[in-house]
Amino acid sequence: MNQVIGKSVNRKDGRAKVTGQATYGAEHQIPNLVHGYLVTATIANGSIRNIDTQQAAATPGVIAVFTHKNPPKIFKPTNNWMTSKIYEARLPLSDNKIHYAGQIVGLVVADTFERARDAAHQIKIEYETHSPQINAQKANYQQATSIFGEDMEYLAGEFETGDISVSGAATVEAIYTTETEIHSPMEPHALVAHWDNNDSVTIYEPTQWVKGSQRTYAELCGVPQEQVRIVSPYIGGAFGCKAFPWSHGVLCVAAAREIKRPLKVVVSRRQMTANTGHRSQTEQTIRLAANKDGKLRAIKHIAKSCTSPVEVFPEPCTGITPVIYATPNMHLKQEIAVLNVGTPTFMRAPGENPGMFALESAMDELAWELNIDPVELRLRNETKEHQRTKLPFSAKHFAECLKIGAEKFGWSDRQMQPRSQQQGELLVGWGMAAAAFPALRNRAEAKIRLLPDGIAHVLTSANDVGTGAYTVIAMTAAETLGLPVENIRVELGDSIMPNGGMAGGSQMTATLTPAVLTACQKVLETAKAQNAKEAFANLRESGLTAYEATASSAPGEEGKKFAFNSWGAHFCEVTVDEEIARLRVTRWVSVINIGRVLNSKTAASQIRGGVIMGIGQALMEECHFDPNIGYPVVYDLATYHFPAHADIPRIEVSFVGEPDLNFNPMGARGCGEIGITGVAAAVTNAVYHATGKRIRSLPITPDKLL
Amino acid sequence: MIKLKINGQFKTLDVEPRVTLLDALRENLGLTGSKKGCDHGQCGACTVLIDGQRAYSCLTLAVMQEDKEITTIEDLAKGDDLHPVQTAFLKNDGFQCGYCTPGQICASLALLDEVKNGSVSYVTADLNNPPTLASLSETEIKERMSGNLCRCSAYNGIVAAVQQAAGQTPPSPAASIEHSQAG
Repeated sequence: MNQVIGKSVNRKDGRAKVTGQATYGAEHQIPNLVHGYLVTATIANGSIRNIDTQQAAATPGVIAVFTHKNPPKIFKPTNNWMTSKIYEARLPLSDNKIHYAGQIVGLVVADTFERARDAAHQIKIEYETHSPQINAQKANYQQATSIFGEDMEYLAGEFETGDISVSGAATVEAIYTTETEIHSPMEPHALVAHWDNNDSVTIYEPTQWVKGSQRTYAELCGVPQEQVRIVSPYIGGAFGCKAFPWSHGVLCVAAAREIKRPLKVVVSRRQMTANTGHRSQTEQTIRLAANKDGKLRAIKHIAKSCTSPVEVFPEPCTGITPVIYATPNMHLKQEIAVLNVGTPTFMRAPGENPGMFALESAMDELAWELNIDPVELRLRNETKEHQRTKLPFSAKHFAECLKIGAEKFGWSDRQMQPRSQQQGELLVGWGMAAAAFPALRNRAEAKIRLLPDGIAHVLTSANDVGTGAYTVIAMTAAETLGLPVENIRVELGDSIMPNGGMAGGSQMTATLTPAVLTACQKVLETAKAQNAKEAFANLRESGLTAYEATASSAPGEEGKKFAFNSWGAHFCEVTVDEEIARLRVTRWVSVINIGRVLNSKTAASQIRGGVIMGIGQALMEECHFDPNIGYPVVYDLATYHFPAHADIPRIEVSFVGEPDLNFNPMGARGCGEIGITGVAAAVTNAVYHATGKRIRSLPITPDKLL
Repeated sequence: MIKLKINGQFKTLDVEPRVTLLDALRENLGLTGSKKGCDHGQCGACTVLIDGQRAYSCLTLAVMQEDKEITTIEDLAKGDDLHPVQTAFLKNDGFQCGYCTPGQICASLALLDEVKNGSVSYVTADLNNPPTLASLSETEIKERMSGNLCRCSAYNGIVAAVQQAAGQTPPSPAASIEHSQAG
C-alpha cells in the first residue's frame, strides 16, 4: 500500500462545492413544490387552551394549516435504535401539551415561502402557562439511565469496598461546569418530501445515517422500507444534529402526503436554536489523589447533565475517564435531571468533550500542586489497558503525542510560574491537555463497477458531512485497483445504494474503507485480473457493460482482544489583556494518533475543525434560557457566537503512530471528534499560566477574567 | 414583474416586493449556489457580488436590484476552467461541508479587488498606507473575511486560499506525518 493512501489529495467533491453545483437537501428542484413554515411555542411549560387558525387559513396562497387539532397521520415508530430512531420520542402535534419553548405546535403550507411565513405569524394561540423548570442548579438529579446498556455508576478499588477516604500526597477536588452548546451547522435543517401516489416517498434531507433514516421514515409513514428513498448527497455540516429525523421532518413528510404536493420545510435559524438539539450544560465534580511522584491513587468523577421532558439523553462525561490515566481506585457516576428544554443530543465528542475539560483541568491543577510538569505528570500516569474492560490498547502512541507536541511547541522554554511571561502589555500563557476518543467501527457495504471507459464507480449510501469521505473512498479504490484518483467516481448519500453506515462516532472512514477495499479486491477476482488495467482489457474483450462487485466488511473478534482508542496532545498559547479582559488564542500545536492517516490534507482539516470548535466552547459558546419564559436568550448566529476568522490562529497539526491493523484492514481509526477533546482544558490551563486565575466554568467570558 | 441581470443574463420574474434577492435566486431562478445559512445577514453564506461589491443577498430585496449587475458563484468558472480563487480554495482545503463556500469565495473575490483599490480595514496600522496584494497579512485577511462564518472551521485553509489568490505562498494545508505510515 501507499501509492496514494496517506498523500495530500484534493477533495473529490471539491469542484462541485466551489462552483455552487453541490445540491443540499432542500435545494433539489421539484416541480409543483409548496412551502411549509413551522409555528413554534412561545412558552416552555403548559398547554394550548385555544389555537385560532382562521385568519392564517384565509391568507392568500395558503393551502393547509396543521395543528394538534388536525395532525397529519403519523404512525408510532419502534424508536429503539435498532429498527428506527427519532430524536424526540414525542410525535409532533400529538396533543396540546407544551414541554419546551420552541416546540412545534403547527405547520402552515402555502404556495410561496413568504406567504407561508406570513400566515404562520397570523396564528393566534392562547396558552395555559405553568412556570418552567429551567434552572439546572435547582433541578432534581437522579442516576442516569444508559442509552447503550453501559453502567452509569462504576466503582473500583477502595471505592468498591466502601472506603471512599482515598487520599494521597496531593489532592485536587473541584467542580467544573460547561454551558449549553448548539451545533449550529451552516446549513439549516431542511427537507423536501415528494410522495408518489400515497404509497412511496422520496425525501431529500441532510442525514448522517441514510439507511437509518429510511427505516425510521418507513415506520412513521406505515409503508415498507423499499418505498422510502432518502437522497442526501451533500450535508452542510451536522456535528451530531442530523443523524435521525427531527419532529419538523416527521411533520413535513406526513403533511406532504395529505396535501398531495411536494413539500419543503426549512427550519429558521431562530427555531433551530430551540428545537433541533444541543449539548446539555454539565456540572462535574472531580477528585484526584496522587502520590508525591505524581502517580494517581484515585479518580472520582461525578457528572450531571440535563435532558428534556420529551427525550432522555445523558451527556456521558465519564465514559472516557478510565481510558486515559491508570489508577487503582476509581468512582464514576452519571446523574441527570429534566428541564423544560428541547432535546439534548450527540454533539461532537458527546461526553468526551465536557468530560475531558474537567479531567484535563484537574490534571493541570494536580501538576501545579505537585510542582511536576503537566506533560511529565501525564506520561507517568499512562495506562496500557482500558481500566473497565481490562483489554490492552492497540497501536497506542499517546506518549509520542505528548513528547512530539512538547518539542514542536517549544514547551521546555516554559517558565514554571503563573504570570511569568509577558509580551508588551499582554500576559502570555502556555497550556496543554490530552486528547482521546474511542475508535468505533461498524458494518458497511459498498458496490464497485468497472466501466468500459476506464472509470471505477463506487456506490454506497454512506455520506460526506464535510469529513472527506468522498475523497478517502476514492483513494482507497485507487490504491487497491492501481488507478489514479481521477479515474474513480464516487456516489454517496442515496438509500437505493448499499448500506454505507453512519457518519457519527467518528466511524465512517474506519467502517467504510474496508468495505471499499474488499469490493475492489472482489471485482478484480470477478474480472480475473491482477489490477484494473487488466480488468478493463478483459472487460472490453468480453463485451460486457461492466464488472460489478458488492462487498461488506464488519468488525470480528478483535474487540475481545484489544481496546481501540485514538490519542492526542494539544499545546497552546494565549494572551490576556487584563485591563479589558481580552483573551486571545495565539498559537496552537496538535499531535494526534489515529492509526493510518488516509489523506493528510482532509485529516488535518478535520482536526483543525475540532480544535476550533473547542476554542469556541472555551471562549464564547453558550446558550442561556430566560429564567421566566424558558426561551433561549440566544436565537441566531449573532447572539450564539462561534469562532470567526479573526478569532483563530494557524493550527499546526501532526500525526504520529503506525497503522492500527488490529482494528481494521486499512489500519485507520476515525478523526472527526478527537480534535475537539481536551481543547477547552488546554485553553483554561494556559489562562492559569498567564494570569494565575483558574477558570473552572466555561466559556471564559471577559467577566470571569476581570 | 421585475427584471434582474444575473450572471450577464436578464431574467424576468414575478415576485412579491418582500422577496429577498437570495430567495429569488434560490426559489425562483433555481440558482442554489448562493446559500441560506441564517437569513439575517449574520453568516455570509449568501454573499454575492452586486456591481462588483460583496453583498449579503438575504439582506436585500430582489426588487431593489433592477439595473444592477449581479454575479453569483455559478458564473465564476468558465466551462471546465475554475476561477483562480476557486482553484485556491480546492488546493488549500478551504472548506469541508461546502455550505459556506460560495459565500467565502465571493467574499474573497471582492476582498482582492478591495485591496487592489487601496481599501483599509480595522487592523490596518497606517491608514495612509493600505496593504497591497503582496503585503496583505494574515491578520488583514482574517479581519476582512470575518463576515463569513464557517462552522466546519476551515479558516486556516480559507486564509491560505486568499494568500494564494493574492500571489503569496501559503503554508501547506496538509498535516505533517511524523512517522513512516507504511505497513
